[in-house]
Amino acid sequence: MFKHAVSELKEAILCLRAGQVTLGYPFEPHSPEPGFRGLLILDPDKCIGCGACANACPARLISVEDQDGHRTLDFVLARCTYCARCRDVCPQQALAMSEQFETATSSPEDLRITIKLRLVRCRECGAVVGTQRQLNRVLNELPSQLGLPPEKMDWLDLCLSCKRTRALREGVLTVEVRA
Amino acid sequence: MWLGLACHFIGFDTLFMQAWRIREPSMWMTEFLTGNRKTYGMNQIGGVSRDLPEGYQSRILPVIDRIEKEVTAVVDAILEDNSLKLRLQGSGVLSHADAKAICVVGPTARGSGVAIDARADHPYAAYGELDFEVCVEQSGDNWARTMVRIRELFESIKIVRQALAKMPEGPVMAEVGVIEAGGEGVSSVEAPRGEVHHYALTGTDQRPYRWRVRALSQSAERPGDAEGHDDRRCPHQHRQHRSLLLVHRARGRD
Repeated sequence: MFKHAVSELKEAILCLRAGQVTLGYPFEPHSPEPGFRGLLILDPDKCIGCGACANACPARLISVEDQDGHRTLDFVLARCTYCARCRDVCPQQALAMSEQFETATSSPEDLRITIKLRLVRCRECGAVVGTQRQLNRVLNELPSQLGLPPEKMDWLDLCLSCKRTRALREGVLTVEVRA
Repeated sequence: MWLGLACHFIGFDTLFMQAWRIREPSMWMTEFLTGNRKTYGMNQIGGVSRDLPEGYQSRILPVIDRIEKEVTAVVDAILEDNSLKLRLQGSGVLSHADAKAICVVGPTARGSGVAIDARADHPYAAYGELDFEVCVEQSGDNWARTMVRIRELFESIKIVRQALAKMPEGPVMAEVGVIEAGGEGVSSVEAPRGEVHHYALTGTDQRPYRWRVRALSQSAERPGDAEGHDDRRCPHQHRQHRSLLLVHRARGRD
């Protein structure tokens, strides 16, 4: 009995010594640790619509659709697991994880990002080549890397198959056929 | 958290609140280390997605020192609590033989004197380089399981200290390359409440074709099986029970 009383006394002291441990949040702001992964944000000016994020997303919440001359990337963030794989693979650094953790909402549209980019189709066969912004990036970076003048890049708006056909026809590329 | 919830369920809310208070700094620590409290999003094929932040040692060590001190104080206070003893001692007894027969895992098994722990039995990750004790209690009642969990808490603190001291330098990701379709992988890891088995079969396109998780609760939540082992009652459960038996046999235990 005595031991039990001591035990209860110890428990009481523990609780009293702890005092108030709750934080003032939500009446006071609560800032997360640096490196915290909150709600995803997309910089629409940087995105080129390559779809690397959709390929990397484990939750499969990013859909890429080509329709009516536009490529639409649709992020359904209600399913996001905040792993930040999309941010890590984005070649344009267009995606970032914000510090926003208060994502409760009555409207699913609040957790959705949609971006529509102009699509370029192959001038010969009409197959999808990529978005205008993807081509612009190639046009900006490739000539200096290859030492080519930009006006020589007239094959940019050809699809992969038509590029090959043209390369073969013009003798840029030779194929060795073995018997 | 387990200790806190267990106390809540038996009506001992004092310890429930205290356990959660002590746990909170460890949650802040995981946010600091991984970028989130619960969904770490760290593990990837080939390694982890981010390295430990700058100055992690000086931040983790005081936190675990404090947790150790506070848990010691709480455990010291409750061990002589009569109501807790009356509630836990002699209740929910799972005998050593029954625990083996129905193949319970984790602290449930260890509370009944079955010394199995995936970290010690077939060490994965860095567990082979760390020194820790597999906590076993013999009486098989709720008290024994509680004691196992409490002792494991201190073992975990010991493991964290050793891991921090031995932390190697180097890259956090390995180059994986192309993953062939049709490859299979099985793993068994010790989660806080017992062993978790994962099976994966790779498909085309670098994606998993099939992935099966056998959670620990599937081996713990089978009352009735202990008496008489009536296999006709649930053939499906019987199959699972056999499969786990095989795992145990493969490990050189009975």
